[in-house]
Amino acid sequence: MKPYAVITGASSGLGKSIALELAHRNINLVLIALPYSGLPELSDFIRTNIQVDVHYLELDLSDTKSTYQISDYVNNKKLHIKYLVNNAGVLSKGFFTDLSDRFILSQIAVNITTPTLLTKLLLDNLKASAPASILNISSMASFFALPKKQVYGATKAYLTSLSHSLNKELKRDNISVTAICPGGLNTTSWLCYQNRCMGWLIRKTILNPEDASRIAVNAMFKKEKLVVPGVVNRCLMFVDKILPDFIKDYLTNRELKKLNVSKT
Amino acid sequence: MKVLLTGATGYIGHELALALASKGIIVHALVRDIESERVPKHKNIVLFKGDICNHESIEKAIDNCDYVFHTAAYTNLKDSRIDSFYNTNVLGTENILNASLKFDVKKVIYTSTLSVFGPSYKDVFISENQPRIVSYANDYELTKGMSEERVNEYRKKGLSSIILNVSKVYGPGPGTYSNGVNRLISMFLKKDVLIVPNKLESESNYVFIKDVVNAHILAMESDISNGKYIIGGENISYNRLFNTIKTLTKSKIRVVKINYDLVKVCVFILNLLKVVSRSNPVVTPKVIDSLFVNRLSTSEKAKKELHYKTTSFGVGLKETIQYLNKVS
Repeated sequence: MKPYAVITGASSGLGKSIALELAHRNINLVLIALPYSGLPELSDFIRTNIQVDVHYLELDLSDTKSTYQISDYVNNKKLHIKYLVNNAGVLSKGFFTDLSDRFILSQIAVNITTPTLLTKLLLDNLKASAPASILNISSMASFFALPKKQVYGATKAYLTSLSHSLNKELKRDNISVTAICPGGLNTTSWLCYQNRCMGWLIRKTILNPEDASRIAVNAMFKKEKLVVPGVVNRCLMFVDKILPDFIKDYLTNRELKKLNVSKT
Repeated sequence: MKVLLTGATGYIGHELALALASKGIIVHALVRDIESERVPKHKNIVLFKGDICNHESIEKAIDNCDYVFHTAAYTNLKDSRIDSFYNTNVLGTENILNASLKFDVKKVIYTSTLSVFGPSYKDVFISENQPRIVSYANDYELTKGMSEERVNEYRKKGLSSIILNVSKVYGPGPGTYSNGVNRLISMFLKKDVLIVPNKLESESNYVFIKDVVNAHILAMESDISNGKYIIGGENISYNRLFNTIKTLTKSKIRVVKINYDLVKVCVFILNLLKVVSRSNPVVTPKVIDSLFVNRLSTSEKAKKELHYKTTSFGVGLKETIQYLNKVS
């Protein structure tokens, strides 16, 4: 029987690309995304043109109940989950002072609570389908101190850390855990535009989702622990280790000033 | 009845303005340069000097208009900066939408492009429901995609709108950057040798200008208040395109095929030289890529819901060649 992959945040950006990538590798899909985000159309397109089985659930993952709904759905339908891709995430929105408490809580719910709980709830299913894999979409922001990305970066640092520990712990169950930490991605059109307005070096770090998803899925299959996609990004990680703080501060501030007024 | 039309000096806008005017509709044409030779001339076309990037000029032109046709766009793919694309296509569209809402316009007909869907997936025809599979290939696609999102946002505010995703347009009318087929025909008429990349099996959709104009009018007249339609014609490979043009023009042109990647390398080097000599590039490797991907599409939805009809490629091409022979 063909195994299934559960992908959160699958209607657009990296999640959509990962869904297509896995479908092309003949893996059935359970796609999760917000209502009115084009999920039925995407599911229909994949089902018709790539010939894999696609289930979809339109849920708001900032609500903990949604996570239970996913595991109930999968269990009721007796789907064998071999891959879990925790991709859904809420991006940063601005300075800490300006963020509403509601926004912060939902960001933490989507970026931390959901992947943690979903991994927990689907663990028995993954164990039964072992060898199985978990792919956590983290971010390079988990390594850097970035104004305007405080909570976001911290949630991603959590996810990277969780992945590392689980990778050790779940080895005996034959489940691999991969954290992928991309830099900027051309996902929403607004982000594409902002990325386009960045300086030359930063633009070289930006990846298209269709490229990042291939790297991510390959890393998951190779059971790698941590992947930073893109050569320039890996160089930046290295440079970050050797540069003194004051130079890094200068550089990040300079780039942040290039960001136009952030859209609400 | 009165309508506002932007982009009257562009290919589609020019032809649409004349078609609307000949139906007895008063067309308020918002143009940057009223002296331009591309300005359509008709007693029912009233010119308003202005710019979609300027609120006041839009408000003067839109007053008392029942419908708005927004065909203006910045399409110059050779421009390596995004600013003009963003200002005209995104901010300009937002200005038009904003004014349309404020002045209680019944419906906005927004001219977009098939390329917002990206290339076809394998040989599956692009339809309105196709999700975009790969990232935006250039600033034109990106900003047209963004402007469609703005149109959708204004729908939620209560502004009715129809988006028309037009494929490659050809046919009689003023030569502009967007009218590639006409330029190709002119080459077949005038030149002895045509050098092309050897990727002639790639297929695109071609639509006759008169069908595009009709689609705009149908979208206005239709009871449907909100929608998105692909406006295309036939799916044709470059091979078939070249052969058809060659036969119809009785051209003796020799089509020389050169390795696709080699062409791109040559163009790249040529552009480097142009940077040194500070002149604008004629074509860029990115433009070539966007010309040689498969863009097959279907307009079934428009045919069903708007009663859109298409002219066959042979008939449309004959008319175009006659026109080009006359003007040259």
